[in-house]
Amino acid sequence: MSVTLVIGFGNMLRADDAVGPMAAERLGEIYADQIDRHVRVLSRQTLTPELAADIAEADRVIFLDASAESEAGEIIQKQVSANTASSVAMVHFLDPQGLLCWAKQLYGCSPEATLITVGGESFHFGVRELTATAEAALDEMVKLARRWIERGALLGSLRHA
Amino acid sequence: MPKTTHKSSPRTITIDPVTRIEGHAKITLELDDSGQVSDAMFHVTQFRGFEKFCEGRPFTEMPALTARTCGICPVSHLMASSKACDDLMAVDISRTAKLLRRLMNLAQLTQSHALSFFHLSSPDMLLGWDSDPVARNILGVASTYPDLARDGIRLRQIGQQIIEMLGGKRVHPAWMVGGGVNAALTEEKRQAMLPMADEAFDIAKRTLKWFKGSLEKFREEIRTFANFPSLFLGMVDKNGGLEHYSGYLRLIDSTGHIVEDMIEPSRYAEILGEATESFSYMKFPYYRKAGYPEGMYRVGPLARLNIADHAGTPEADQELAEFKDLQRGAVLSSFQYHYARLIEIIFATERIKEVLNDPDILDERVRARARGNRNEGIGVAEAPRGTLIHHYKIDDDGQITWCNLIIATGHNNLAMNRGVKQVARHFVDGKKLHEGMLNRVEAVIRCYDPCLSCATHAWGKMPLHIALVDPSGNVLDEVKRD
Repeated sequence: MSVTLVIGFGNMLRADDAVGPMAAERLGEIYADQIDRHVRVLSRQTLTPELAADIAEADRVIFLDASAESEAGEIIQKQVSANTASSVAMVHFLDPQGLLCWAKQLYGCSPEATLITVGGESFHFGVRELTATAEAALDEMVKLARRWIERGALLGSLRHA
Repeated sequence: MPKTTHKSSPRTITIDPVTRIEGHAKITLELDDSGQVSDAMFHVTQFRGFEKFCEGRPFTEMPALTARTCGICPVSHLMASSKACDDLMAVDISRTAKLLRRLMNLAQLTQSHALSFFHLSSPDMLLGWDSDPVARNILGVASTYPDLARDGIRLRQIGQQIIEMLGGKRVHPAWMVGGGVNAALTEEKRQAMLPMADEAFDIAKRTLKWFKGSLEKFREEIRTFANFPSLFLGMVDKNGGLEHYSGYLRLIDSTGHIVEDMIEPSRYAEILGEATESFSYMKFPYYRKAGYPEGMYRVGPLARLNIADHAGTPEADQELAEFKDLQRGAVLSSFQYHYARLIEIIFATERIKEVLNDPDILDERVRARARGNRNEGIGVAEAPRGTLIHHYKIDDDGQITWCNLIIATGHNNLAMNRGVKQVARHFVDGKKLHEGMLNRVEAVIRCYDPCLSCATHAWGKMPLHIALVDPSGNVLDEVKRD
């Protein structure tokens, strides 16, 4: 059985930065009653090295985050892989590529990984809700994530058939 | 981008920023005419302002607010703040609530000490202080000592998982509140935590065994890393044993003689004063009776083990006895903070099991409710890095009118400055710099595992460029790290 790890990360007190954890929360509800536990959902404020141990137990990883670089509301999905040039030595600030590097170095694993981002309109401090733009993109983000998760589950079941 | 430092005075070396610590700081080394270090300063370079912007807030918000001081040790602030709120409410919380708070604090101790030892300090110890700085980090450790690196990850993960199981999240769990905690422990979670405590204990034991076996290699560092007489401050229980949640303040001198004992934490201001210096945003606490700066003292794992008569758990008691044999009186070298941290992890994991097996641990009476019933409240606890003090004053509507936080790391400020000077004098040759010299100056700071985020803020990459220039501005020597 192929196991997919979902990691939604961002600051819940900084407006659209919360879109990653909120998407993870919705996915957690969708997959709450799964019998075979082929999807594991985590929500974090930042990516930390300890997540490398969680990645080591997964076949596929999906990262969900806001982006300050793309247009507000723009959804981008891209494949990511271990990158030693990332901020890999920082213990309290990592990006997905750096975290995958930790997982590779420590556990010898290289799962298939994807990153889905939503362009943020606002990252103001102390704001506990998404902007309307990010809220509108959240559904699509969750749909994209589900498609990727289910594709992996299907491929995994075909391999085992 | 690397930062180039050109000083108008040619007799100054600046290390900016200091790397592999929690927070942002720089070190200035003053050279004499012969090019040797004559003085050193440890500058904490950012300003947080919690004591000011908390004014006007309802006191009930303080645990959540002050937890945001830090992402590594938020539990410590939650605990000290909640205890201050208990005092304001004039409540004596239930025994179960105390056990649960203690449980989270022990988990926090485990994960925080693991971070300090494995991630921040082990690269120097394992790869060498003069090794290539590009590889001198936890990933460098992972490529050469993968088992130890994985142990560090797992130990931290265990501590964080226990925190999450208790409080709902790993960072800033909104669970400790004035009056107790806001949720009881379930049997299911208790059962899940027990084997985790065993696993953490085993990791700590084998790491400590490795460390003790390696002490001979670190003789020069032990001799020179902030190895000087000082007072030591911390909390002990009513029997003089190791304590992190609730106890009494004890101060000893370097011979082990008790200077102050069984001081109620609420009376901290009678024995401790705070000074300021122009070169740092971090305050300089000192022992009042000795004056400033003679009243320098140290807090944290080294201090706690020095002041405690015993640990109180089987394995930690044995290790503490062996630790105290290192030196007559108090153990003075700050390098031995690393040793003390590992003993405290062993203690924490043993105590976690005791707490989980306490007959009252699943009781659901975990929170007392009351309004503010006093206008002043003080909460003191032992954070991983040392004694943490939260002191609040409120008006009759329960709003904060005054707030004083004495952060654990702050207590060590004088000692860190002195330690930097000692190491710099021993290792730094101002006529010819090499990166390993400067790494050792940074490494002495790492012994204290400072949480400068609690007094400052830190984020970002850690470039380093040191330049030694002559009176004409010509660069005589330089070292760079991108």
